[in-house]
Amino acid sequence: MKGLLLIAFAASTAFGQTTRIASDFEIQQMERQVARSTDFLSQLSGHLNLGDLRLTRSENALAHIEYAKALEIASNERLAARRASEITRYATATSYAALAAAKLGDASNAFELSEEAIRYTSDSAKSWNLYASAMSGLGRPAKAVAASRNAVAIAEREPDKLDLAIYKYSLASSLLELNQTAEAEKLLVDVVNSLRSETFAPLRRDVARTESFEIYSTARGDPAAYISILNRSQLRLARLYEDRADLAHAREQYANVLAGRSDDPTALAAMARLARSAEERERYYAEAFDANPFSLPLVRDYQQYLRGGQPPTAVLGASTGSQIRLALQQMQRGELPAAIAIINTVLQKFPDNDTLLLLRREIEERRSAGPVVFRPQPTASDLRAIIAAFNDNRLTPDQRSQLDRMTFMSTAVFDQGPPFETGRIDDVPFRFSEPMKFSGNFASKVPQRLTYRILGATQQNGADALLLEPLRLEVPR
Amino acid sequence: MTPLLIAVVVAATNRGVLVARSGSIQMFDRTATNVIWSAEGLPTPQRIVASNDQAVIIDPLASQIRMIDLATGNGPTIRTGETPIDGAFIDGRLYLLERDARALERIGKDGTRASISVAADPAFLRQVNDRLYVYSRAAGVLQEITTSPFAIRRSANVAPFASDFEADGKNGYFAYPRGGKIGIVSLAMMKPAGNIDVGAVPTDLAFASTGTTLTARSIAVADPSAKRVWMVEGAQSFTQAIARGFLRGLIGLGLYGGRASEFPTGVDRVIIRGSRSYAYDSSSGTLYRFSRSKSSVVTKSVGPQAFSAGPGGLYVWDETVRRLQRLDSNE
Repeated sequence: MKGLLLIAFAASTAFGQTTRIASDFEIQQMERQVARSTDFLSQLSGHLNLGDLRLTRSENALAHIEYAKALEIASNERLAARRASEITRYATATSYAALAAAKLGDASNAFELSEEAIRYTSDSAKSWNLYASAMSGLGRPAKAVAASRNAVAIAEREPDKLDLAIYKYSLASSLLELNQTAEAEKLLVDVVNSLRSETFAPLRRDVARTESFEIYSTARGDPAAYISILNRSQLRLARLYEDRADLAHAREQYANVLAGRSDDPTALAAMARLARSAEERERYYAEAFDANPFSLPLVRDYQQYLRGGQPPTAVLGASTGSQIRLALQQMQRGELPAAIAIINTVLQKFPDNDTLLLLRREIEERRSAGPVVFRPQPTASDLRAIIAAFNDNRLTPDQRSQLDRMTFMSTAVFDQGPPFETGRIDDVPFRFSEPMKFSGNFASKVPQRLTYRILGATQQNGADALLLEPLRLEVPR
Repeated sequence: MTPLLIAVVVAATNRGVLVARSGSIQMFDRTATNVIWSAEGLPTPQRIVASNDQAVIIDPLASQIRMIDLATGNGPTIRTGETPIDGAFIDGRLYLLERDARALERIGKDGTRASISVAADPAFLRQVNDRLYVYSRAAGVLQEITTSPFAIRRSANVAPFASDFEADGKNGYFAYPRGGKIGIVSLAMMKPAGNIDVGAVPTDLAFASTGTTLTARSIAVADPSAKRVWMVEGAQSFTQAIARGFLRGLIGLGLYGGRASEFPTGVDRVIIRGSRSYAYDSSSGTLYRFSRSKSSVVTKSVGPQAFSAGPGGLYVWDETVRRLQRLDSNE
């Protein structure tokens, strides 16, 4: 068995690049590995993988803890190796310490440690690949490219084609960050073709025999490395095709990813983006959210889709992914209390999740909606601010007194009736305390001019709403 | 170097002692107590190169340099090619090695810039008189560069992956930690001129003496695996060897048996300034003073660039009290 094969991992903000599934299964596997093993490589790879997996789930605090443990383990190893006068072991541990420091965002330390390691092992492609990964993690793609080129140049003189594929993939990833797409594409095509060639047929048989499917950024052994690098390379290549609107080739690569791992969230979300029908899109989104409910790029992608106006299909099922998708639909419809209730429920199960905390903060900001201002013809944000002030019990006695005295006038659209009970003013829901009939000929679904008093805040189909006392209804002039 | 050490660079210059820290530069007098001037610095300084009247602070991580007039502290901050790692001043011009850009750049006093491409992974820059030598570690290429014209004059293929390269007027010396040897290249011929087997993991080199009619130039070699600094002869010509009465050839061990200093921990850097010799353990940040067979700890937990031996003595930045200290005065 090999040592560790590091496959460049970047928790990119761009959707679908190298973010990957953060399944419970893989976390359990790594937690078991950390609990049962005592050797350096098992401990180190366990914590690095756990950190990366936590990061894909937006559990940033937990990821930080794992990376800090990895740094501590690597630092102890390098000192022990030095005491034992084992310089290659020292250099390897130093490289991993650099990587862990980079993942913790400590640029200065990561750079110094990388430089220290490479003094002793500049002939090692693996060391250069670790150097490149550390620089990539620090957002220094030009440095990562230089280090990766050294790794590839050394590995090309060696017989191990799997290692070479990994180093070429790392180089391509950094080139893409520098927008050097032509060379990156050539490298990725080479890597994918090589990995799918007869050269790797025995390894593929091993993978099939052992039913391996897990994907890790720090892989132990050839089968795990093969699965992971094939997954990553195809995803990268697919995204490259997608970005230049070569959708057929993009779909083909994403489909290849899903053939190897049917619940890859990045590929599923991409297939949703590239779907040919609304039904297909919803199905892929549902599967992507089930695979990784907390991917912020996936959340943003879905929100953008919802803003397109196409009514999404009803969310069925009680999975965490379904709950998040429902909450996002509710946010889009302005049903903020219902959305925040769901988010709070999921947060009880995943209290350290930064995506959930961000969504809750965004909902709260939308509900608070700025300072309270009373205008005879209020805007939508004025009305939302008044609702928020009622909900938070922030209205002063003077403001309450002023509100009791004031009448307001807005253009309202009733949901149904007559008699009229609920409707919207500039997208802000309202309801009367009881169904009302007005003198005259009025219909629902058309704008009317409503004069009213504001009694308080209520909820309407899960959304924040105003409780109004109607005074007069007129046909707009 | 431990993860807790703060990046500080100290350089003893002819005008005083420069200390570059994140965002600031200070020039101290040789007593290390008075600040002559202060100036704005770079985010992550890693190296200082100085001439009589100029210096450059190099930040390889940020790919920036700060030019400094040593008298006043004035000078511009300049964006460079990727990963500047070393420099040399010749006739007032800075020659800057940009490793990840694979370039040697010339920056004139007036800011004019010119650049030449060098081989892959140019990791070392050395100056011999008015010539520059760039060793590209991954490519295994030594390039001789003239400053007027600014061009590559000659190249030689040498063994790749050295951890250090030093050059005197005649030869270039390369430390190969994996091979346990020092490689020699004749600069006159630009051809490999043999190897010297040294210790287990020779990592860093320093010239210890220039040699006499009775002794050849000696080289100190830090070996962290053996926890020693080996003293070996450099290359000597056939005529020189005959004149000294014994012929050991270009390949051989040190002149004197047992000429090695022992250390409690593995040292991987060696610094020799005149009669003063220092060795440094990067893993623990321990700085030692040593003579032929004795060593003693000077200070601990100091960064690899946070000390400098030069005019006035040995200067060390103590991060715990944030002060510059002169530990080994020679005045």
